[in-house]
Amino acid sequence: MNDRLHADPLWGKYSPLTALTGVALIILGSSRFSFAVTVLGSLMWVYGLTIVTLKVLENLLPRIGRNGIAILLSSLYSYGYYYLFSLFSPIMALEVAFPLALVPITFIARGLYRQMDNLSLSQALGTSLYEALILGLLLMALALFREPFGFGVLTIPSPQGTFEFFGSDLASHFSIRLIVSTAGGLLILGYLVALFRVLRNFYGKYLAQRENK
Amino acid sequence: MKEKTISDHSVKGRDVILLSSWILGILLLGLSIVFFGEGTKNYFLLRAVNSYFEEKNETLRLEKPLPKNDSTHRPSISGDFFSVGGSKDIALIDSLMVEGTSIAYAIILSPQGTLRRMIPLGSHSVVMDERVALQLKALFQQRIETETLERK
Repeated sequence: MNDRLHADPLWGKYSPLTALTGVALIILGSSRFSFAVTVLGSLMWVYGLTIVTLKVLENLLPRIGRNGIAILLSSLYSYGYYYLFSLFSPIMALEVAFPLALVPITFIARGLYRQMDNLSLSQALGTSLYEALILGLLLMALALFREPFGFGVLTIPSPQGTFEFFGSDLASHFSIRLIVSTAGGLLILGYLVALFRVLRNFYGKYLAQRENK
Repeated sequence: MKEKTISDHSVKGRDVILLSSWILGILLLGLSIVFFGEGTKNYFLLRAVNSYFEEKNETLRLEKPLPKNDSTHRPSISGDFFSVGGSKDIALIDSLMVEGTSIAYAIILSPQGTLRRMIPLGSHSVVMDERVALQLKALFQQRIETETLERK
């Protein structure tokens, strides 16, 4: 039944809607490099702490409603991160609040905590942090393209808000506004996904060749 | 057969108790962060906004946070309210979502609830503010003022 479901073009693992998990976070969190860095911190924090809590208190988990607990717990840690960040950089916290709110949703949609049953604490933590890091690095890579071309600057988080450590008036003047908008983000993501599929295909062929040898 | 049923019931009961404890515990923790942390958060926000005003040679200064339930002339939207030093105006610190990114504003309201100024906070918000369509700003202004009137 599960195999049939996963292979289904509409409901399966690779259906267009399933593959959209995390798109909102990728688009909104990559418009500025400083946002991407902040979201990376939140991803590591939420993924790591939620998995550690669920693993350590595994014996106290009920057999029903585990999804609900994971949703509440990741939301709590996400709010905790937002709170701490708002003490570090209150103005920037207002600007990055929405992408940060999407972190627990991405965590839940990925369903990582359901795959941790047979893993030890360190293995589970390693897997979850690795996944958070991959998503965070993807955000940062996109932001490294979108921010310089869309705003003409590069920023990092600072107590005074976004701190511009690279940029000029000329670059700002010639920046392409579309790139930092949601529509531009989706366009770039489309090209990135196409490139990813080509590379994935090559990698698959390389692995098959290695197995044959 | 009878024993099995009793055992099943006890396991279900244990699960329900555990689930309720988890939900209650998480909600209590969350609420305590919101309740006890609000003051510290507002203090840091006030300090950051005042330091930004100082940097930009703005004469305005936020004085103190206003409690959320004391809202004679305030709109019911999200954000934090502060009194403005040397005047009876109220400052609302909130963010507006435009083109997929949020813009932080200090919105200065008269005691009657009329919007006086919208000051973008931070370099990101200043850049984005220049890109916001005037119609959208007018809509935001209208929303704040309408909600203020409704509460009066």
